[in-house]
Amino acid sequence: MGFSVALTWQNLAAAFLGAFIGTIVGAMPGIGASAGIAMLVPVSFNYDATTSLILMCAVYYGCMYGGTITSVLVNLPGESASVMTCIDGYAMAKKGQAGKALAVAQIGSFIWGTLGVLAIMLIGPPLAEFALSFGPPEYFALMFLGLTCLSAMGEGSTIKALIMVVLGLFFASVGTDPLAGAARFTFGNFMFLNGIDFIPAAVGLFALGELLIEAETVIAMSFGKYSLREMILSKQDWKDSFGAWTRGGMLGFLVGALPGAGATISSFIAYFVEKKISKHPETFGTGEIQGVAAPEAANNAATAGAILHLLVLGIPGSGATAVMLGALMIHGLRPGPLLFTQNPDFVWGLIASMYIGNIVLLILNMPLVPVFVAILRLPYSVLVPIIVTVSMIGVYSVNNSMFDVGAMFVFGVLGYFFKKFDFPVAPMVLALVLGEMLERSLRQSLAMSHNDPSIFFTRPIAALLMAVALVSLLMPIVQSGMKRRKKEGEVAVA
Amino acid sequence: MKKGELAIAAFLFLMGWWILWQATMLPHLSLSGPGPEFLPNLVGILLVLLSAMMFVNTWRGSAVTPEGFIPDRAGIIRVSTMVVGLFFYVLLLETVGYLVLTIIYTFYTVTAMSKFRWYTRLALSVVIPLIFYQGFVGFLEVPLPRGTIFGA
Repeated sequence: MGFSVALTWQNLAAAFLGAFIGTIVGAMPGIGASAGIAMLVPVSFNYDATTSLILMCAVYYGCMYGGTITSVLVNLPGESASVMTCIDGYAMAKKGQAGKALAVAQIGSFIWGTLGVLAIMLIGPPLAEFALSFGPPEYFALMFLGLTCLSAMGEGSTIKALIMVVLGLFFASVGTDPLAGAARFTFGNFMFLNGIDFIPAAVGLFALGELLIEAETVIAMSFGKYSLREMILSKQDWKDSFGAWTRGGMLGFLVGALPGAGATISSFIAYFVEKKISKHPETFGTGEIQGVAAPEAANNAATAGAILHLLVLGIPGSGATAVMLGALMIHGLRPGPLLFTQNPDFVWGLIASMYIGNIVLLILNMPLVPVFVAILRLPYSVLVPIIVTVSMIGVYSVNNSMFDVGAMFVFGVLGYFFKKFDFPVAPMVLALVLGEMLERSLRQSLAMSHNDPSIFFTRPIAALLMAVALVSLLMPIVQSGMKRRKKEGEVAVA
Repeated sequence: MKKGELAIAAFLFLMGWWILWQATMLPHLSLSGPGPEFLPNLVGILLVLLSAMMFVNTWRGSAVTPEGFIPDRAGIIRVSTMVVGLFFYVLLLETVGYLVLTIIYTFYTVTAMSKFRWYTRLALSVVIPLIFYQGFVGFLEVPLPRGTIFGA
C-alpha cells in the first residue's frame, strides 16, 4: 500500500526536491535541518499531508547527508550532527582521500537510513498498539520526559536549557486557554488571542538567529580537492567500515529513539564507542576510516529513531521533528498511536517514501557533490537576501499575517542573543509546539485525580516515564557536583 | 559575558514574578481541576527558581569571556546592518509590497556586505527577488504582500 502512495509522481517529486534542498541546507554551515524544514512548512500547505511530510522527511535526511560534504571538504560541519565527521573526515581529505571519506559517509548513511526505515516498519505498529493504552497522565509523563531529556542531554548548561523550556511554555500559554477559553497575556490585543504560532518562532530562532551569528564571522570557504574516482572503495575499505557502520547505526537508532537525544548525541556516542573499542585508538583524528563511518551511520539511523517517536507517540524528540509535528497538526493530522489505524495511507506512504528518499540521496549525492560545492561557493552577501526572502515568504504565507512576520523578526533577534549566551533554542521550540498538549494532558490528569499529583506516580507507565525524566534531570547536576568535588580534591592535593 | 549573564538572570527572575502577578488576574482553581491560571503559575514559579539558580551559578563561575564572544568591528557592523535592514524590511513590507521592497533590500544587503561592482549588485537585486516571485507567486500560487504604494 505504501509504495502505491509513494510512487505517485507528486510524491516522488517531493522526495527528490526535499533530498536536494536538504543536502544544500545541511551543507550550509549554521542552517540546520530545523530551519530548513521550518522554512518549507508554509510551502507544503499547497500539498496534502502525505506529500508535505515526504518533502520534510526528505529534507531531514538530506541535511544529514549534506552536513558531511562541508565537514569533509572544508572542516566546517554544516549540521551539528556532522561535527564528529570533521575530525577524521577532514584529516582524510588532507591526505588526499576526500572522495573516499565522502563515499564511506554516504554509503553508511544510505545503509542505516534504509535499515532505520525498516525498523520503523517493524517496531512502529506494535509500539503504536501498546501506546493505545496511554491516557492523559502517560502522555504528560512522555512529553515531560521529552522536554527534560532534550534539556539534560543537550550541549551546555542544563539550567539554561530548562529556562528555555519554561520560556517556550510561557509563549505557548499566550492566547486563549485550551480548556476554559480564558484569554491569557493578550493585553487586550486580538492578534494575541490565537497565540504565538510556532512557525515564526522556529524560523526566527533557527534561521534568522543563526544568520545573524554567522554574520559576525563570515568564513570564506576553500574546498579541498577530490575526484569522483576516489569514491570507489577498495575491499579493505569495505572491511574496515562494515563494523563501524553496524555499531554506529545500531547505537544511533537506539539513542535517536530516546526523546530529546537526536542525531548529534548519537554521532558523538558512536564516535567515542568506536574509538574506545579500536585496537588503534591513537590513530583516531588522523584520518581513520571508522571515525567517519560510525558517526555518519549513527546520525542517519538516529533520524529514523526520531521519526519513529514522532509517528508512533506523537512526541517529537528534536527541533526538526518538533517542526514536523507542528506542520502535521496544521494539516489536521495528530501523530500518535491512532495514526497507524486511522491514516494507514499516510503512514505507509511516508515509510515507503523514506526508502525511496534514501535511494534518491545516494544517487543524487555521489555524482552531484561538485554541484553542491558550486552552490556553497555563493557569497554570504547573496545568501542573506535569499534566506531572508524564503523565511519571510514562508512565515507570511501561513496566515497572510504581517504580525507573524514581525514575530519572526523578534524571535530572530532573540535567537541571536540566545545563541550568544549559549541558551539552546531547540528546547524552546519543542516546548512551544508541545505546550498546548502538555497543558491539556496535565490539567486533564489532575482533574481525573481531583488535583492529586500522585496520579503521575501510581500508574506504572507514567511512573516509569516520570522516574526516567527525573533521573535525566538529576544526572547533570550529580555529574557537575562530582566534577567540582574532583577539582577541589586536585587543588587540595596540589 | 558574566555581567551579561547576571543581567539576563535578573531579568528572567523579574519576568517570573511578573508572570505570577499576571496569573493572579486569571480565573482561579476550580473543583473539577486546575484552571487557566495553572500553567502561568507553574511557569512563573519555575522561572523564578531557575533564574535564581542561574544567577548563583554565574556569580560563582569563571569571569573569563570566551574568545569570539564580542565580535570584531567588522562583525558588529555586519550584524547591525542586517538587523537594521531586517527591521525596515518587516516594517515596510505591507506598505511597499514584496517585489519592490525585496529589490531594495537585496541591493542594500549586497552593497553593505560585498564588494561587487554596481551593475553586478543591481543585477543580483533584480534577479533574486524575481526568481522567488515567479517561483512562489507564479508557480506555487503563494500570496505575497502587494503593497499599498506600488501594488506590486
